[in-house]
Amino acid sequence: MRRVLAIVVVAVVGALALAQTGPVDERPPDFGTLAPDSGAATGDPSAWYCSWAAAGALRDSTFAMASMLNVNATVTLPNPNPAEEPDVGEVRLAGPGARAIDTGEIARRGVSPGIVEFDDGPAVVTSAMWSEDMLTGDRCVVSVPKEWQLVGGITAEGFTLELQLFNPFSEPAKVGIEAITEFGRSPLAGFESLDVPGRSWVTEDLSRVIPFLDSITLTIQSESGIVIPSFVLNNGTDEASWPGIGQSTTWDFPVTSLPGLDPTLVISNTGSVGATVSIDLFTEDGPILDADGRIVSPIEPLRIDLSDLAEPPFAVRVRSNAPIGAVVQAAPQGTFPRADAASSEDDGTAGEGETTATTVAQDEGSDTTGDTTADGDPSEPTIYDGLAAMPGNADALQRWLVPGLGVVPGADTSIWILNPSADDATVSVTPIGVSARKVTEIVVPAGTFAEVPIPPISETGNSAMLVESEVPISVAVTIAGPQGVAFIGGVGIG
Amino acid sequence: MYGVARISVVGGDTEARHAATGQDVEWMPAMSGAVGKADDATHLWIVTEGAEPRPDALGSLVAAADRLDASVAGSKVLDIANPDHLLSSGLATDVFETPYTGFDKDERDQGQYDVVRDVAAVGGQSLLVRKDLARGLGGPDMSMPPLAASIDFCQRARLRGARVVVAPSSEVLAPDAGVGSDRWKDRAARIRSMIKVYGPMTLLWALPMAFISGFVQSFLSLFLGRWRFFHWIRAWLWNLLKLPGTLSERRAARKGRVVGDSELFRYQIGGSVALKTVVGELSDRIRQRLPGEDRLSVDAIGEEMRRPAFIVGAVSLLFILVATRSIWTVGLPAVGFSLPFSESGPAAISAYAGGWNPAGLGSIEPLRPIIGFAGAIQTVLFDNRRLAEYVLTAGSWGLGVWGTVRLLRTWGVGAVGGTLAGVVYVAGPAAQAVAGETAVGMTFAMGIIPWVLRLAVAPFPSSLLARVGRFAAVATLAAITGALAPLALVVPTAALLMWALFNLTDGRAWRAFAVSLIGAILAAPVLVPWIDTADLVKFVTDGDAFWTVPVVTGTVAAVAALAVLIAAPRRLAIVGGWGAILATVGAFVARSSSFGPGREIEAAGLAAMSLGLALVVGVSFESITRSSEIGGWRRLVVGISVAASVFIVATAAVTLVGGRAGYPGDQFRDAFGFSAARPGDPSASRILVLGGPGDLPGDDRLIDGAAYRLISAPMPESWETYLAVKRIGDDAFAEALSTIIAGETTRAGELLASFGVRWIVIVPEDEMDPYGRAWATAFDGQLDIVPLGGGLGHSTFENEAEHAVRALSTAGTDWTRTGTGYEGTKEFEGSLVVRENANDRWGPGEWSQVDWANGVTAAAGWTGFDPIESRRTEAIAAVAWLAALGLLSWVGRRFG
Repeated sequence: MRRVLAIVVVAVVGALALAQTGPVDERPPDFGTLAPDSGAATGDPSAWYCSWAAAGALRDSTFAMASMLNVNATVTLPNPNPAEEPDVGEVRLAGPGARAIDTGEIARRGVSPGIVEFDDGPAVVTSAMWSEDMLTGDRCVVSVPKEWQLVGGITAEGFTLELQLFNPFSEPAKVGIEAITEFGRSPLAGFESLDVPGRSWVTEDLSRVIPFLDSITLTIQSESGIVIPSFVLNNGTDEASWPGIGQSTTWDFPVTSLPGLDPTLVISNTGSVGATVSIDLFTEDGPILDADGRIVSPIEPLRIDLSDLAEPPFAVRVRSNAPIGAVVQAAPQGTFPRADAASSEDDGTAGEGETTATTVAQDEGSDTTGDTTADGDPSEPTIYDGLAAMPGNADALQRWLVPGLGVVPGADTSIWILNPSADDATVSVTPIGVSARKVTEIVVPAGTFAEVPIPPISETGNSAMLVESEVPISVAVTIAGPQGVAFIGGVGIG
Repeated sequence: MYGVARISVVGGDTEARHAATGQDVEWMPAMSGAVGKADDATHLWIVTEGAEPRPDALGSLVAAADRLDASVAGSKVLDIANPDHLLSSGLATDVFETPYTGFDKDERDQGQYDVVRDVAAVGGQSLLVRKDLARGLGGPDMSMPPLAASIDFCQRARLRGARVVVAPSSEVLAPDAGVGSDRWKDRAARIRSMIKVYGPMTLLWALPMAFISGFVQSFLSLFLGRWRFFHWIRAWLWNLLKLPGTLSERRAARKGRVVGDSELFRYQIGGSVALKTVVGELSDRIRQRLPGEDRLSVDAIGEEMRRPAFIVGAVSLLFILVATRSIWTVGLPAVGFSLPFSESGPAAISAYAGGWNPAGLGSIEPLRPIIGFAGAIQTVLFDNRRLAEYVLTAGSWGLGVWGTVRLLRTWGVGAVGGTLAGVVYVAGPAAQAVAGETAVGMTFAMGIIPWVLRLAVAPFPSSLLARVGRFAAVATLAAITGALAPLALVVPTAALLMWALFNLTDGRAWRAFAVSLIGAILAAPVLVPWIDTADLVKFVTDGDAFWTVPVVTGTVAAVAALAVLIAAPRRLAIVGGWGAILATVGAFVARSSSFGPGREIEAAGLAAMSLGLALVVGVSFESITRSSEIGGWRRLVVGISVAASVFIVATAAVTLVGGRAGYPGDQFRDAFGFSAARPGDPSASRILVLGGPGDLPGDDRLIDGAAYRLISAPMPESWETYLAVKRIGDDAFAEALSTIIAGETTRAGELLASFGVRWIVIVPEDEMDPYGRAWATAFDGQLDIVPLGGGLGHSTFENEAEHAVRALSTAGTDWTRTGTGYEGTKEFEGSLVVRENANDRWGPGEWSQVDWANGVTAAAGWTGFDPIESRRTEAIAAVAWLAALGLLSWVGRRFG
């Protein structure tokens, strides 16, 4: 009897034991994937990485900072000799405030990429570099993705293209670099796995590696560690530099050219299928939507001469159905090779899209094009000779912090404001610096752009502006002078 | 030359007195007074009681002593009951002072050793010594047995440069008392003699070796049917009590010495005589038991299976030694909830008894009782943590096997079946699962559980005192299991409840349950102060009780159980049925996470399951030997159960592979050990360990679905295994980690340095592991965190920020961790920040809260946590209660 009882008990309890279900699998961590970073300034402490700066016998450069709050900023220039400590400069910004630190004040030893750390925010950094015969500038980057795209490289005759890989971190980085050109994928011998020592940088002359190419896009992927890449393009008369970017379906270019310079747009698609791209132009008379439309092949960057679409100046918005990278470049006519292959999707020509004529209203003291001065007096526009390049702004935002204004001796500085929305934008431009807080208000009609010339810092003491609007806008800066031309993308406040 | 002028005869019986009279020398009945007596005697002839010297014995001694200028001369000793039987002719010893004659057993005297020669010592039955030497040495040590006293005297004499010889022509008849006695008095005397004569360097290694050798000898004696553990313990305790007197005699013995230890070694043999003797006896037994070729038949094997306790015992001992070898060489593996014991046993005891809980950023939450218990064992074992880990691991296995044998004997299961069942109990599939869960405490406690059961089911004594002693004995053992793993306290009682339910009408079964229940209740107070203050709900629900059943082994076990239930003889089938129910219920409990139980309950369920499996296996092997009780188809079915049981026993062999007693491979020793090689004092800092839930050593905390915890560098210790409830510092640390994860800082090092974090280790090695990748991404782009290369298996970073230490003075000096406190340079005007969770018991001196940490003075050069008195008192009371239970148990057994 007890045998039977035991068998029954064992069978029942055993079945119950086997029927038990295990704990549910742990959920994966809620972090670890880098959110797409717009590169905007936030209200947190931040570190900005400026990969192309130099101070030596011929060149000067500056780290231009602006902050909305009281912050301590530390500029660290890693030493190429790993045995030596980096050079450090510290400055306190009384918010809202701005400062531009001459790199040579910290260390004058040639190429000096730097890290600028703020202990609070929002705060932003841009850099500018000039000599007697060149002028360039970048917005520094705050996001550190593992994958970067560098769009718009040229190694055609007359150009020198360098790849600057800055590793601001202590961990040595190992990166793999792939190139796509107008001929498709181009092998980069020796770049499959490139070591970048910690707190150091590597400069590679691509003109020797892949010469005579009109459109080069690099994809830089970190196997370990992180690098901040940038292109440095020189055509003998000027130098342009621009940082790596991520990918986006929208790119805004508040400025594409200056008098004397023709704009070129370079679009690159590193995805697996073609991207259908539309180009909207924003002229002073209003938008020209779908001014051009292309299908961008995944293995072939596209170079579009924007002056074929409309008479500059104008701002541009690039829209795509798939993430792409886009850079605008400007130089005197004939500098860039023309892309013969470029043709509109529907054999379209400039201006075939829907056109909305809008008057550009302007406030006193502001101007919208280069053919009037800040005082509204008609004047002949200055014709510039130089080379400039700038990645677009991925997002339109309502607040922008714009440092580095008027800091380059002898050069003109302007803020460019694009209002891509369907509503007029009343934009307030507030100086940040030592002078009186005179707020300038301008109205940028829907679908147009405006230029706000900035006096030299020596006249105002202000090296930054806070640009605010009730509708999302996009902002950029141009610095132009006898040395050359620089386009600097804006930094929004997220 | 010191000639023999006049002799006094000391001691002995009538024969000695007659010999004295015959030689016309003075006779004194006892040693007392003989040495110090002022007379003209030059020599003393010491004769023990019962010895009968031959008529020419003294003359031969004198002649030999005169000729060789020997200060001590001894006689050849023959068995008084059989004068042809040689007892001694001078003695050698080993380094532990154990005498060695070199004779075979029952060796006859044929004059083969009749050579006058120098020896280590002579037997005490007949001893001629120079009186001035005896006076100088203070005579023989009267606290020792005669033989040990004689050896001790000879050793001390040799230290003074005296020759010790044996004169075989001098014959004495004496009773055979055995020269290699391992009774406690002899053992104690040898230890005392070692302490008296050897130099410090020799003692440094010889005493620990003597301790271990004694333990091993006692353990091996078990297989000869001798219980010698109490002799071993008593010998050492006696020496502990006598230590002041021994040291005084040591000073006297070594004062004026003219030779060193090397001179003593000249007359000694290598190794341990006692161990060799035991091993020799064991070998003889094994040889006798092995069947010869002519007996290699089923009958012979069947016969051997009924009588080979020592063979199976020896094999199981070998099995235990091999299966735990890694614990001996390396210690407990650092994996899961298994971490090395604390570096200091006394510190662990102090921390348990109201001290600081050092896990994470620290807490006043009480540590688990195993910390105090293991600390006590470690303290006794010379504060050697690896030895303590080994003794507890191998000891629990040995006790488990032995206890299972004793338990099964209750129902007539023989030694073979019992031993194999014991092997399954400690190393079978369920036991491996306990070890696999790294439930260290439960693994230790499993060694005691069969003994609790055995005492509860054993025939109930008749006298009241014996009954009280029985309850106390059960309570004592239950208390030890509870101290090792609190839920192990429940296992025997629950098992016996099932036994009683299964034998519903059997009063003895219910009485066994009652004894166990009362024992468990009496044992519970031993768990204070932990049980008073611990969050018991958290204790039983932490983790998930879900054991994955190995399909093949589970099926085979089910077959074994079913076959036993169907075909075993009735009485055995009931035991097997109980085992089957126990195993099944244990499996159910071990898989009951959906009802809320945690890992502690899982371990208890697995322990019950292991016990049940052992009962089934034991019954299975026993059934096959009962050919008279089973026949026909039942024999076939029992054969199937034996085959299944053999498979289950064979699974225990898995533990032999790693030699880690079934624990998983060491995972963290290399992962964290690197910190010991980094510049500076690693123990001054912490390591932040990151990974997925369950990946980290011991408990972990979660943040955004991933796991983290802080451990001490260079290696976490067992008292850090379980994290306490979050406190202010833990909240601040979680906030800091949130900041890092959110990418709101590029100076993670600075943030972490304020918590004493100098290193960061991401545990998952697989690059595709989502937790490892997530954590690696979180630390990407940090400016003050440096990755460490050097072939480290895990992603490891070093914090470059300054002062990433646990205790920092205002002058910027790092303090070093000692136990749960810190030491550093005294700064008379300075203060110290102790980066442990704020608590005003940190001192000395005035305390202040510094953010989430503690501010104390740096003037004392140390800082520590002032123990909570009430808890300390409770801990002392618990120990006293355990001692009282133990004493009562002994009294009941001895006098009941």
